[in-house]
Amino acid sequence: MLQTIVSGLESGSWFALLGLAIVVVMKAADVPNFAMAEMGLVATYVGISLAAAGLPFWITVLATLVVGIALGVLIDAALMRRLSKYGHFPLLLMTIGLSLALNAVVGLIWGHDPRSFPAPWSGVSVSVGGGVSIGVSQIVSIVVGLVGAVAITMFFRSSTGAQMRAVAENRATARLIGVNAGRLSAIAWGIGGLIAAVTVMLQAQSSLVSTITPTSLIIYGFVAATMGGFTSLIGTFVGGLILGVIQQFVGAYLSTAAQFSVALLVVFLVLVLRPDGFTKGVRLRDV
Amino acid sequence: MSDSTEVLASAPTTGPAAVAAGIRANAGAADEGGRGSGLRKGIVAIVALVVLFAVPFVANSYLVFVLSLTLVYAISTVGFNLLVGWSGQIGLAHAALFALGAYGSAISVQHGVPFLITIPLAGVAAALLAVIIGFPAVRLKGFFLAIATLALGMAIVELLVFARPITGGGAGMNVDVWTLPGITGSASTYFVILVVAALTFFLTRRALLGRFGRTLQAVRDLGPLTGSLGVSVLRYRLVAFGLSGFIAAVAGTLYSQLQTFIFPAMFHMNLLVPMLVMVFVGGAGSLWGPLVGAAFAVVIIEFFQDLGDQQAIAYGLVLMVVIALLPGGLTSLFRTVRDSRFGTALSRRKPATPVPGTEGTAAAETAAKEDA
Amino acid sequence: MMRKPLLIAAAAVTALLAAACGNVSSSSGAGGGETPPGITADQITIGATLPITGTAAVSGQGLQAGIQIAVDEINANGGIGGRKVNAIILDDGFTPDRVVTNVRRLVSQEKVYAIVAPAGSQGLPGTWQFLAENKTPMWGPISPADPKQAEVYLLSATRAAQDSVAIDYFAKKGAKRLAVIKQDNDLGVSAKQALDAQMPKHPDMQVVADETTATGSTEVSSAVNKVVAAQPDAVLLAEDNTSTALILKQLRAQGFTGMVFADQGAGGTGGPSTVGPAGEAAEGFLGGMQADTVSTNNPAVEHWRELAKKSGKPQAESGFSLQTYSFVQAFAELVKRMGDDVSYANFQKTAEGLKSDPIKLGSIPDIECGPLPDGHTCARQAGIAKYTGGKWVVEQEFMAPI
Repeated sequence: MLQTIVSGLESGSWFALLGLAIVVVMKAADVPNFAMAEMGLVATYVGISLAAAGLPFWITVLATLVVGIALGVLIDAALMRRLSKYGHFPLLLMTIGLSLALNAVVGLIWGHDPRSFPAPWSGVSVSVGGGVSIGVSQIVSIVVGLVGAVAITMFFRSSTGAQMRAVAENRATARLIGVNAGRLSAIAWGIGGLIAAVTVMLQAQSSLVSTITPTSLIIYGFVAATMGGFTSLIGTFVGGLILGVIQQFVGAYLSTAAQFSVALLVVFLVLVLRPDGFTKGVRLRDV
Repeated sequence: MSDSTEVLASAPTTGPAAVAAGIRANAGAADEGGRGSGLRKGIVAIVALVVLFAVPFVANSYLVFVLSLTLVYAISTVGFNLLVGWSGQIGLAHAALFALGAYGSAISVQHGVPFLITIPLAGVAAALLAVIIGFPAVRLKGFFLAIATLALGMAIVELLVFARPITGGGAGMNVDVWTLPGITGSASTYFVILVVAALTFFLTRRALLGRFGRTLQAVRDLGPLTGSLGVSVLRYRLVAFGLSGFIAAVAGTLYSQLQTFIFPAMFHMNLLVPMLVMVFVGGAGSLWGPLVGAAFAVVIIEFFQDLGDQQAIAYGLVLMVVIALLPGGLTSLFRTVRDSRFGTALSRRKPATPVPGTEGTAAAETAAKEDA
Repeated sequence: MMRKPLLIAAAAVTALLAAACGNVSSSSGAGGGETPPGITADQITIGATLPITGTAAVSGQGLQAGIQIAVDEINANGGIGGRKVNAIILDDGFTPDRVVTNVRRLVSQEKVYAIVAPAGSQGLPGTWQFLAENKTPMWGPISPADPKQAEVYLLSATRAAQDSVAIDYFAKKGAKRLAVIKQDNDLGVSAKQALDAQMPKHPDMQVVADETTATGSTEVSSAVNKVVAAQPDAVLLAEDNTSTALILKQLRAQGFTGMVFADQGAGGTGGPSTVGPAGEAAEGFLGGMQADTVSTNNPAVEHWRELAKKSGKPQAESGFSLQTYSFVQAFAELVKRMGDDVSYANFQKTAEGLKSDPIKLGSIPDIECGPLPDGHTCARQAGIAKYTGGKWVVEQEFMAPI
């Protein structure tokens, strides 16, 4: 039972963080980014290579984050911004193309073998009594997820964050009051890349990642984002956590084969009952 | 409160609304359909059909197979395009409905139903299911609709795994191939596919160029406002769902004949993503886009075969380049060319104002003018 | 003016119909006694479709390297009976419709004599009917279930056979409680076949947990949690490389110390593809052996190892590479035995005669194909290797299931 909840919260944190990355880019730059998980994968693989080359752990973590940010900003400037006037579909397709290309690049450079990001606490676990032991890496995932969510929420309360909110609410008006939408879009993509890098890194320090990882991760990320109505940060975060826990409980008490579809069906029900995301009535004014 | 609900309501709906420019560029195709001589178009179509009919007599079975696959995907994309491009709803259960057609046909054939009858039968069954899926879903907007239909689609494919006694479960099932007497299986399948493809294109073209197509577009572009014109928005959205489900399943029945062996993992995201690519690379909301998009997706992979382990990256890059240069899809290229030279000369319209950088905008503007 | 193109087209079509009507007629095609395609006095063309890109690229690139090494070696020694081997390898990206497309391309466009050592166990069944139409042999496909048809010859123990040998091994080691984690695709079906066949033979052993995971998902933790809760003595895995490594890590992290087995493909026996990512958790892990990738005193294997090292590709030294290397060598031996009659009828006759005079390569179990219905599963024996102290060692020699 406890093991099930912890496993659920752990994978839920990954879904939630990736969902947050998607929502941030969606809010400020208006792009549904299907390449988000691949961006995190590229950054994480750079970090893993640096670690293999003998660099200290925290330096490699820092490098991973920097690569994530740089990748986001670069993609925004080079590919996305000039397409933005055509609406969602070309942007969506561009991110699909990007995800295929990035995935293939990772396969060419690093191969398709699964890898892990060894952390000082890898393999250490804490006994919590009753014969149940919880891995430190699981706790790290959950705590970092929570801290990340709080940090992003705080950011949206800063003045840059306020400008982003203005853009999200009304692009034309935002421009009138002197908001530089291009700069904001770059910042949003940078933050998105950063969170994506954290997400995949967290998964890599606890289990394994490979070129297969992004495919399922991105769906869960989008589901989490949907549960937050693509706007609510708190809704997305809570939605991701709930998704992870539901999935574990379905696996533990119903059938491991049906995990994915039952989790998605729950989301479907949520959507039908609350067509604007499940936090609509309860959410704080965070946008 | 008012601000926040405003955002909630508008953010997801911007999907279909904001893309209107891109789609309207393609809607120009509809107008062009009226232009030029109908007789000439008819003759061109018949000649094209005759040439296509002759292919198996001269080409080897590999080329016939590639062409068959292209046509099957083109049929399926006609349905997807109807839903996503023309009615503006991002319904993502298409791969699952396609799977339903494939399995429905294969299972019926095993139980003695003649294959040709399973084509419309599977279509009707899938149309009903699509409407059932669509019923709660049409009230959702943009990405909510996308995720909800994705969820249902995944569940349907998962059900195929669970229904092991009927479907063979995850290991898959064999398909009995229907053959014309005295003719190879590949050629027979190809002829059926060709006939169905021609019918599909002919019928959807007629429907979309007429009142039905215009109403769908109006529902897409105006949303609930259409209600004031006396059109039931929900009903049109549901009809779009049902029709696209019908076409998806018809394509699925043909796909099962082509593959001769089917299993559930064929119909996951790895099929849905190429299906989306086919719609948008061809040009969402265009008439011939599905054919162009399907040809792109199938043929380019065959051309990249010599690139070894670099072909996956080449595919991704080509996709990115196409979208960067032609945001309206490949079919917008033909229109851009026509509008710039022949079009202007023929109809003495003002040349489309070239906007620096992109050709797509020019097409969009021309189309916007045509609309006006 | 408008009728002209129509007339020309009609004339062209009529001409084509008249000229090439045989192309679609089902009665023609390469028959038993005719000269088959892809073979001349000085060249023989073979083909394979492999997942060189995509999710199964680890195995695909190893399989490709093995074919290449074998072909290079055969050609350096003068080819097969004076015929140089020309191998055409196509990538299918691990998608089923590309497997089918590729096989059609190899047969109809590239005109290969035979398809040798292709992979894609889920996609390959989509080619059985087509192969039957064209009579093209498929020699040594990587581990699909046996379709029991004239054209297809399986040269290594299927997954089901490997799993069966593992179940026998567990019973021999005194295991009473067996747990299974399998994928919801053909891998899982193979495991189920093995369980159905072998469990009745071991009445002391019972299945205490039988979990299924979704294909392509790395979400395995709830399956692991349930298995650990059932307190098994041994765990049988039917998963892909990544999931196997992941399950291994999580089982050991939760303190499970019993036996864990996966077949050669999933366990990457002899190479690092599973034990590498699993790290310390791989200690004591059991992997099935279709080919003897492990031992260090087998001259046939040492010969391959030398060639693999020389090729300079890291993938060439994997167990996958030894498998296809051996299959191509066996193909060369078979064609040599066929003598001057290269017809498909003689191919089948010679292959089915191997029962009395098997091809013995040393690196894989002896190839002893016989007549249909069951004879085209040409090898039933599988070995078991154990990963201890950072390297693979032979745990149990090649043997057939009880």
